[in-house]
Order: sequence, then structure tokens, then C-alpha cells
Amino acid sequence: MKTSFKKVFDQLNDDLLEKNDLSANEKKQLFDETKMYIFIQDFLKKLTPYLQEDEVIQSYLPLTNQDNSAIMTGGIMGMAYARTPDARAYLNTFHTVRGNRLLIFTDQRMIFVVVIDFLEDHTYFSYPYDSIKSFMLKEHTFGYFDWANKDGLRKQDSYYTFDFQAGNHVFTEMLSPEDAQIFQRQLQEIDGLKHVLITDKAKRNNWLDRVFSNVTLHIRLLYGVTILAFLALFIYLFLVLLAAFDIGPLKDEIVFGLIAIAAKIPPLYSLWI
Amino acid sequence: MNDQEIVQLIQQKDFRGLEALIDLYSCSIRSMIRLILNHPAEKTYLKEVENEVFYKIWDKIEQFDETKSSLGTWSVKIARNLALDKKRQIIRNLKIIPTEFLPETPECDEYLEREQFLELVAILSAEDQLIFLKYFFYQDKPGDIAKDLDLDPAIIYNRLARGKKKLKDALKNGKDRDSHENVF
Repeated sequence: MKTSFKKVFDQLNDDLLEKNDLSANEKKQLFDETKMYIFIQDFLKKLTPYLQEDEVIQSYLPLTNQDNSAIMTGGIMGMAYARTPDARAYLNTFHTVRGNRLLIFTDQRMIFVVVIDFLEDHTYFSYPYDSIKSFMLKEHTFGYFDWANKDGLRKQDSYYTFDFQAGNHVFTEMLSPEDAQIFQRQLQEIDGLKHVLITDKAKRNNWLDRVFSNVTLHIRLLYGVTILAFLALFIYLFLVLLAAFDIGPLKDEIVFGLIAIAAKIPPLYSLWI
Repeated sequence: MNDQEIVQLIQQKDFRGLEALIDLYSCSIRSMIRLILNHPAEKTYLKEVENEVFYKIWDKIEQFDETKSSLGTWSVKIARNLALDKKRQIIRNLKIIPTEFLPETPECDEYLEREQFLELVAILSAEDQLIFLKYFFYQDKPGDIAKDLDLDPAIIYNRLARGKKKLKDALKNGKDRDSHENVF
């Protein structure tokens, strides 16, 4: 990525050389940006009839599959239909399915749109501000090894869980740190959001939702089950290792088990005997 | 790809038409925007205006009449108008006060309000608007304006004088019309 220092000198060079045309790369970049701008303007035009007459859009929070937010629209969750001409055109032009989502903040509510779903069957989700008691906005940090970097191998990164309940609807998304910053700014600027409590726990209106509509809890359970599974596997392998030295509680079972397996394969059995 | 094919593709909302338009005319469009929005305070708006220009071409392609102008001229004209609109909007937002007020008669005091001045300037030709905005709001010297627009400084002085007269007349006519309407 070019730094602002380089960009300024690029501009100065253009002026000095009285550049008469853009390079092929610049044209390609301009085309890609313009194409997206035109698409967004048309998309917002299509959304306008779904707003109330006196409703005013105050801000947008666009979400894409960048950083660690792809979990919500990747794999199976990223699949969608594209049967209408609009949805097909979008798919063919931008080569993305459910990656582009949009959270719209109006003066009355939040509207969540997955672009391709809206183009396909005009699906959108509406969350009036007065139906939201609290937002969960929790940062999760994680470390990883950057093998390409010789100086500092260990790196840290983070993502945010954004979760709330509005009436009977539960909304959960993963935000990149930049998206979380934009959202925090919107919390301060949009009047309708100022009363909403910010917590680091998912709040639900009843216990059924607390258990079954709580992605944070499900992820924790998944972590727990995974750790237990690995622990069980490790203990089993340890006992098998002990049995190989004819010690431990599994020594008989393992030996008999191996004989039983070998008996099914005659050459192995003869070798064993 | 020729102009006719580009227009046809854009009418069909085919992005290949936009790609060809960018290939042929993006440089002229960009140059026009940069020529008008050339003050430090305006640099951050270049991309925004560029996007708006291409969107307008895409959206209003039905209004293009090949008997009146070429696609290139039409596109550059759109760029010029949008850039001038943006320049006026920036001046309004930054609350820049004109350095010299045109009419010198006391009856014209209310005319000195910025909003009205900016509205009045819009009656001038595009080039004259640019000269006026640069001269009165950004305090550019006529010599610098001449250099920017590749014109002789004498022409700039001439245009300023002619523009002042035109604005004065427009104001006077507006006043006459208002008082006439009030009588009835």
C-alpha cells in the first residue's frame, strides 16, 4: 500500500509531467471503484421505498469478509440463491455472494441487509432502537506466529462480537476492530442509540433464547467440547503407549484388541503367532 | 469501441460501457475536476466528485444527444458542472466570506449575504463562475487565475468587470421584479 508521502509525490509528478492519460492500472482501479459506487447508489435507491416517509438515514456500517468477520458469511453460511436478474448481475459483476452486508442507522431504527438476499427477494431485518435494551460489544484477542516475519514471530490480532436482542430477533455479527470503532462512534452520534447499554455479555429476554439463541455461548461450548475431546484422545494414546510396555489398565484390552484385529488379516496373524 | 457503442452499452446498464468510457475519457474528466477543485481545502473532495460524475453519466445517459455534442464533451461538461457545484458547496460549508462585494450602493446590503452571492454567481457562464469563485472567495490573484486557466491576465480582469456588471443587472432586475410583485 502506498503511503501518503508517496501519494503526494505521485500527484506532484503528474502535475510536473502534465500527464495526459491514466495508466492501465489506474484505469482498472478507477473502473472497479466507480463500478462499486454506481452499484451502491442504485442499491440505495432500491432500498429507499422500504423506509418510512419521515425516516432519515444517519449512517452506514458496511460489513465485508475482511479480517476475521468472514465467519458469519463464509462456508455454508455464505451460500445464497441468485435467481433474479439483479442478484445474478451482482454475482457476475462482483463475484461475491453473502460477503457484503450493510447495517443502516436511521433516526428510528437499524436495518440489516445482506446485499444479495435483498436483491434476490427483498429480505431485510428491522431493529427499532426502542426495542433494544443492550448491545454486547466484546473484544477478543488472539496470538499467532507470523513465519514470514523474521524479527517478531508472535503477533496479536483481535475481533469483536457484536450481539443484541430486539424484540424476538437476535442479531450476532463479528466486527473487525475498524468496524467496531465506527460503531462506537455511531453510538455517540445517533440520538436513538444513546440510551442503549453497552455490555460484554449477551443479554436475552428469556432463558430459552439465552441457551439456544446465543452464539457466544455456543462458541464457548464448542471450545469446551473440543478441549475435552483432545484431552480424552491424549489420555487414550497415553494408556495405549503404557500398554505397549505391558503396564497400565489397558494392557490386556489392548493386547487382545490387537490380536483380534490381526486375526482378521491372516498374514498378520501368522506373523504374530 | 466508438461513442455510439459505449452509449448503447451504458443504456443497457452493461459495465463494459463504463469501462470503455473510462478508458477514453477518464483523463479529461479528471483534469476538469482538478482544474476547478484546485485549492488545498478542496483536494479531499476530488474522489467524491469523480464518483458523482461517472454516476451521473451512467444514470442520465438517456439525456445524451449525439447531434448536440460528442460523448467526451458531454461527459466533461457534466464534470465541470458538478465540480462547480461542489466548489460552491465547499465555500458555503467553510463559510468563506467574499473579499470584495460587488454592488457599492447601500440598497444592495442584503445582497452581500454569502448565500445570495453564491446563487447569483450561478447565472454566469461556467468559466466566469470559476473565475469569480477563485477571485472573491479564495482570494486568488488574477495572474494566478490566468495561469490556472491558461488565459491572459487581461482577459481575467475583463471577465471580472463584465461579470460584475451582469450580477449588478441581475440584482437590479430582481429588485424591480420583487417591488412589482409587492404592489400587486
